[in-house]
Amino acid sequence: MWYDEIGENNDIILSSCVSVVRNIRGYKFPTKMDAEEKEFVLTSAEAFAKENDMKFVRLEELSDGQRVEFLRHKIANIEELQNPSGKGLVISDDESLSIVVNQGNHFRIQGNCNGGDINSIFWAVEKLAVNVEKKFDIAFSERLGFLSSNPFEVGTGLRVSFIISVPAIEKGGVMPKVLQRLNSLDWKMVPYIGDGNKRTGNLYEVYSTSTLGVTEKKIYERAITVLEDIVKVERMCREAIYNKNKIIVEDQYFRSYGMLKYCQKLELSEALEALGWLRLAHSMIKDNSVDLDLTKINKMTDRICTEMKHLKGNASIKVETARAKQIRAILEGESN
Amino acid sequence: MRCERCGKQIGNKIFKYNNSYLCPECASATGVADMLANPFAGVMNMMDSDFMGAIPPVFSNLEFSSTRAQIKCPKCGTSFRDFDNTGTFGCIECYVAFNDQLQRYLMKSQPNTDYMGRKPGILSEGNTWQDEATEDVKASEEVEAPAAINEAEDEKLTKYENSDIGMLSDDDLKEAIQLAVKKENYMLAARFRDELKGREGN
Repeated sequence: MWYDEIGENNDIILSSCVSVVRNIRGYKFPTKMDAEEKEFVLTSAEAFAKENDMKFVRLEELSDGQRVEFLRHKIANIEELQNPSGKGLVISDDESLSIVVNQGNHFRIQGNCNGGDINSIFWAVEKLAVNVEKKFDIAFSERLGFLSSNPFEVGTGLRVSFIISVPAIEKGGVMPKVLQRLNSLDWKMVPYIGDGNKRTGNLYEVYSTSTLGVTEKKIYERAITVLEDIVKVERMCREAIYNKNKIIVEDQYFRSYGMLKYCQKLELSEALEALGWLRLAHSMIKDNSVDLDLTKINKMTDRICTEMKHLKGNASIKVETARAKQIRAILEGESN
Repeated sequence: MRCERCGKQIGNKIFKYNNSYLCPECASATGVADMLANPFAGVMNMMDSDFMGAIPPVFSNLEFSSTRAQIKCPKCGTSFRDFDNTGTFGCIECYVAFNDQLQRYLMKSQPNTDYMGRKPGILSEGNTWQDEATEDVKASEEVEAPAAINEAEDEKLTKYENSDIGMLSDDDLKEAIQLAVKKENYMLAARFRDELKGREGN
């Protein structure tokens, strides 16, 4: 499964996603569709899955546990799972490629990978999209390209996004520069968790915005540029911060580890701050008393993020204790 | 800015009412101008006359006077206000119905409003995925049968060498340069390069 692997630059780029939206000509978009039309799209998606050796599921038929799994692996998002009627999923064997059916658009073809290795998924997604286009009569206009329910995605319908953790860029105060650079490439950065513009932790989602007036190749090249820039800057900042304030960074590193290992209740912002310190100094501090590797750090971050999305009432003591318990379990080496 | 009722360019004076922008002519026609100049007129009237007649004309006139709200997609019934609220269209026809407004949105949010991507069902030409795939094939062939490839390249190069240099296309020349360099025939490569440069100069 793709989410078990350690990817390229996985200490900075948590995961990458490439998504392409496509619609069938002659049918309304899913928000205006009736049950019969939805059923038609679902059955044709099922047939498509069969032809391409992929799995097909209807979201309504999933159990709660399965839904959380899909959420955790970023295959489906929360809106789809909260309102599953008439929606479906086509998934490849290793779950790295999937097609979400009837959510916003008829098809959203997406590829996920851990770390920043988008080279493999980008063209895999494009290839799958081509297969979809061959099978169905796709809504396409010579002037505007592929038509989607959200007019801001009209054109290539293609979007690349990364989830990044950049504690050193944040602490080093170079965020404005990074944002400027992203802007010049028509990319955007938003906090990954937290509400609106309020920053929570050092997790951000960066994504491409332009879909019209650019070729697929250009989008791909820009994605690579963004990726390289962020990795380079973050690496430099991490080293600079560590070399300048060695003792402070080490202090924070061990404190954070201790806190995560022995806490009984854990606030969200606290947890993310601690994970940020662990991530920042992890590659530079070598200490055998700390039993920590990148997999564990990523797992903890992931667990916290997904929880944030499906648990309600984040501030309650119950949630905080549950969070602490999960984190402790991961640090002690839980099996899954 | 344009007036949302008549669509004409608005000059210095803009009337804003209920989030709609109006030019002075439309504002006085709908009663907005009077209403804004004397907000209590309606209430004063109400005190004078009976209640039913006292509703200021503004409300009845302006409720749907905004042209943006009036446009509706003939197929799915989505109005432009729906789009403003949800950010999504209802069907493909909406792209035709809201074309003018859409263009303005796209101008703001996209680098260019002309589509430059690939056609449906065809992978974009020259993508690295294809390049790599063909390169892989080349590489594996080279391992298997280097002699065959070498011969083919030699043949090609001699063909380029013997043909009239002026008749070759730019792409051919570029390929020829690469081939010549690969075969370490630098004299030939320089000849092709000079020709290419000369063409660029013209």
